[in-house]
Parts: sequence; structure tokens; C-alpha cells
Amino acid sequence: MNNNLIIEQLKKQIESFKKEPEISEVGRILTLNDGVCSLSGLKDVAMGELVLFAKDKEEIFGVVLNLEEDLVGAIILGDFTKLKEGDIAKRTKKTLSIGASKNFIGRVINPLGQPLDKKGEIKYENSYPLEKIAPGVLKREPVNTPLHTGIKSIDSMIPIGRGQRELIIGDRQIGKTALAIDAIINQKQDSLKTPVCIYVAIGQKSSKIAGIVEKLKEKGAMDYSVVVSASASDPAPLWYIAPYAGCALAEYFMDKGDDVLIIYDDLSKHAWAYRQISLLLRRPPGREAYPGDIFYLHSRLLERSAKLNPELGNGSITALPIVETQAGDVSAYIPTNIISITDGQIYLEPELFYQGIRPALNVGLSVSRVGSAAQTKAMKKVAGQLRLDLAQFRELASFVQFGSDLDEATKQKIDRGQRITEILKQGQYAPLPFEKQVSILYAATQGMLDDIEVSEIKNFENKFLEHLENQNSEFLKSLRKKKDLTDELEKNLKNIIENFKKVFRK
Amino acid sequence: MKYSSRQYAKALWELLEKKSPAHQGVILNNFMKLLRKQKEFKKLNFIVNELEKIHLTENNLLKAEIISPFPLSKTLTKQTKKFISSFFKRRLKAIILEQKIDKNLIGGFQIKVNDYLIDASVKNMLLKLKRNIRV
Repeated sequence: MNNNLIIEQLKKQIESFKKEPEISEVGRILTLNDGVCSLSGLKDVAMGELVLFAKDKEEIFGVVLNLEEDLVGAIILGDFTKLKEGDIAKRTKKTLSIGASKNFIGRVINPLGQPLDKKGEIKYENSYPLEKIAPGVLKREPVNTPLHTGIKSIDSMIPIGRGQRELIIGDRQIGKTALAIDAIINQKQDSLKTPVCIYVAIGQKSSKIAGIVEKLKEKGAMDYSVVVSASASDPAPLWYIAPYAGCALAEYFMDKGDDVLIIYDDLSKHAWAYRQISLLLRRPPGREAYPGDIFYLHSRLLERSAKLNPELGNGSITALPIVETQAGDVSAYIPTNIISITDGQIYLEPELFYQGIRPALNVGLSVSRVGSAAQTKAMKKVAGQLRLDLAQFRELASFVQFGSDLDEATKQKIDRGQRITEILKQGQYAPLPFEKQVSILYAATQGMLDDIEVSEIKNFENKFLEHLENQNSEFLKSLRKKKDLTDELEKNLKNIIENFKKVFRK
Repeated sequence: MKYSSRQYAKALWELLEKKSPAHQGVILNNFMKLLRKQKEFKKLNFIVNELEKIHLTENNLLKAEIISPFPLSKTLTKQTKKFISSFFKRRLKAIILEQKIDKNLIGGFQIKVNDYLIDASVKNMLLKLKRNIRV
């Protein structure tokens, strides 16, 4: 770029600059706690307003959360060790908002919109407020498009639609984040429009977040994803605003008509951060020391995930909040709150995990309240029988030991259930597109795998899917396009499976 | 019962009004004993702040702070006081102007009065310029 041109532009801007004195309303810091401070003055400040602590080189922002007779309580969004008693806080007359633009895709940012990946500044035109009222009833439309996670047990029995909120709940180290990441990775190979994926990491180890970003890059998922990170070493106020920042960014894309998948990992830590802030602000503690408005904290966040009607662009935000339970206790305070807010839950159990069933999905306790309205016709055909077969198998599971003393019907049910359970097991970072899922589940539910040893099922599945990909890509393509298992396609599939079985046996 | 610093300050002020210095000494002594009894010694700083505020309002005074890189001349001090009283549109008996020197401001001045900050320093202009310049 022409140097002279730049210098001319600079000169013009400096000359036209208005040299007026700035009159601002200020307050002083009276007390300073971990991330929370009380200020004097600021008599006209509004609730939720941003205040600026202007230090020499840095600008540290705060959000006003407590308005008392003589004091204003504010949380500090940044390094509070740089502030001291007596420092000045200026009113900005603005509420907390984050810049939003397409340039955020592929980047890792903090909840204030600042980049963390050293790839330079992110340019944006619009600013979206972090706190916003969720779309009203008339602006919405019922959920009708599937969001394929690529995981067989979820897409068949607990289908998720675009615009739904589905909670992933389980103990620590059970595969909750793994499910979410697989869902993001699967969007690349899905037949429908690729949604923008936003992964909000709340209070997680920086090493874990780095690992996730690397994995997403490796699988090519960063081309349509954003990572909002409030890591474990960030102060509690940043943990508190992180999910709202992610949601504001998601709303930008939704207003443009895009679909968005947002993952809040995890909301239990978010509740802890809010409890810390509320206790430091001297708000009265309630059950388990959480403040009285802990429900509202999560309900206003999750209600912003919606499916908009065609007049508003048909955009949607699908939320997958993650909650960590302690010792499998789903009846604790925070889990029950969020279960009542979301449109269903995916319940992961440690027992199943240790038995080798991974993902450790408890099909009985998991539910999707949107259900088959968000499933392709092909999947509906195949999955209808699946849940029933598995339920019957669970009933009879304890009789597996009496192998020889059972009648034919029971034995058959047990055999079928065992094979379906084997099929539903899935490795990490290996999501399947829905056409492959339909093919293998069809084989399982139609009893075409009953003559294969249970220990050989996994091997069969891998080889079968490989065979489908290499030799029958035409079939996969037409199934992917039609989204329905027509009579013709069904006949075709049956033949493919029978032929492959002959090859497999050799 | 817990009282706020403001309530303590107001009560103390009303008691001390129009009393002889000897009497005021006794009252202050009793006040300290009361604070110790109520275990509210921590509030002492805040009570003193509130007392100062009451003193300023009762006597129609205004306290302001002016920060500049150079010391102010007598004429400038007078002009500043005039400007502040016009800013507040209140009839004031006097303005107590505290002066502070801060070389970091480079030029201009900052006036802190009540809850307002009037910033006409060169440092602030440069910061605003930095924020608004786009190439």
C-alpha cells in the first residue's frame, strides 16, 4: 500500500479529530476482593452497565451487578491484581457486548472477544449484546430438521433436531466432551447445510482446550468452528460471561439465517463461578450456597437457543449443554434445574462405560423430547424397532447366564440384543454419516447379523462399512440424497448385505 | 442493631453542633466507646468520610481536586474555581481546591469533583485518538 496514502489518511483523521474535554461520571474503588469490587459514587449507573478502570496502558472493564444505597458492586473482567483501592472507575453507558462477524470462524477467543491464538486482530462491524431476551413464541417454528451427531445410538434413539437443547449429563471422565466433539466433527461430512459450531470451554484446563483445538484442526472442523475459552486460570467473572458470549456470537449467525451448534462445556463450573461472584457480592446464599437466581442464570441462556420461522431467516441455534454429576446423582440441585430447562438429556453411566459399552449411553433414562420429528425417513424406519429390541434385551439381560435353559423366543431376543449392543458401540473421533448408520442398523434390526458371532460383529461392521464405501458408493449416494429407504433401495441394501456376508465368511 | 456509617456520622454531627470544645471532647470519647461496644471499629474510616461529606453540604462548600503537570498560578486557580461553580449552578460559599501534580498528563488538566471527572489532559486526548484512528 502506498505510504503517502496512509500518511495522508492519518493526517486527515488527526486534523478532523475533535479536541473536546471529556466529562465522565466516575466512582472510586472502596474494597477489592477476588474479582469483585465495591465502588463509591456512580450514582446514575445502570444495572449490567460496563464501567472502565482506566490504568495507564491497559483498559480493564467491569460489569455492575449490585446497586445499593451508597455502594455499587461490580465484577472485574480481567486481572484484578492490577487495580487498587482508590482507583477511578468511569461509566461507559454501554452494556457488555461482543463483536460479531464471519472473521471469528476458525479462531480461539476469550469471552471479551479478544483473540487467544496469536493470529492477529479480528475485524468486526456489529456488536451483539451478551444479555438479550430470547425470541418470543411467534418468532419460532417447531424443530423439523435433524442435527446428525454421527453417533449411532444418539441419531437412532435420541435424535436431536436443529433448534433443540439436549443436555449431556454424566460423571467425570465418562465421554461427555468426546460426544460433543464428535458431533462437531460430523458436521463436515453431513448431507445437510453445515452449521457453524461454537465450543464454549468454561473453567477447563488449558491443556485440554489446546488438545480439543488441535483435534478439531486435524479433522478440518476449525473451518466452521469457533472456540470461546475461559480456562481454569481465568478469573470467575470471565467464566460467568463465557456462555453468554458464545450465545451472542451464535445469535449473530442465527440472525443471518445460518444454523448454529453451540456446546457449553460445562455448566456446572459456570454455576460455581456465579456462586463465587454472588457470595463475594454478599448476596444471600440458598440451597448448596447457590444464589436464589441460579435457575434464571441457565434458563435465560438456554432459552436463546431456538429455531426461527421462515420470515426471520429460518436460522437456528442447537445447544448441547454439558453437566457433570457427582457419583451419578442426577437429582442434585444444578442437574435437576437444567434437566427441567432442556428438551431432553443424554445420560452417560459409569457402569456401562466399564463394561465396555462406549458411548456409555443409558438408553432407558435418556430422552429426546423432539423425537422423530427431527429424523430422516430412512432412520425412522430403521430405528423404530431398535428401542423396543434393546428394552426387551435389558429385561432379559440377567438370564444370559442360563444360556441353555431358555426357550427359543427368549434366546433369540437375547442374541439380537447382544448384537445390537455391539453395533451401537463406537470409537472416539469416528462419527458416521447417517446413510452408513442406516445401512448397518438395518442389518442389525432385520436379524441379518444373527448368524455372526458376537465377538466378530465389530470386525464385520468395520469391513462392511469399508465395503460399502468402496464398492457401493452409488447406493450410499442415492440414500444420502433421498433420505428415505424406498423399496428399491431396501432391496438393494439386502442384496449388498447378503453378498458381503458370503465374502466375510471366507 | 447494626447502623450504617452514614447514620453514625449524622448522629455524631448533630451532637457536636454548637458545643464547646471541651464538651465535644467528651462526646467524641463516648462515641469511640460506643463503637467499641458495638464492635464497629472497622467503620471508622467510612464514618470520617461521611462526616466530611456532611460538613461540606452543611456549610455549602465544595471540594474539588485538580491534577495538572505544572503547578497552577493564582489567576488560573481563581478561574478554575469560577468554572467549577458555574458547572454546578449552586450557590456555594467557597470551593476547596486541592492541587496535585502528575507529569504523566503531559499537558492540560483533570478536575475531579463529586462524582464527575472532567478530563482535558493531553494524555486523554492521545488515548482517544489512539482508539478512534483507523487506517
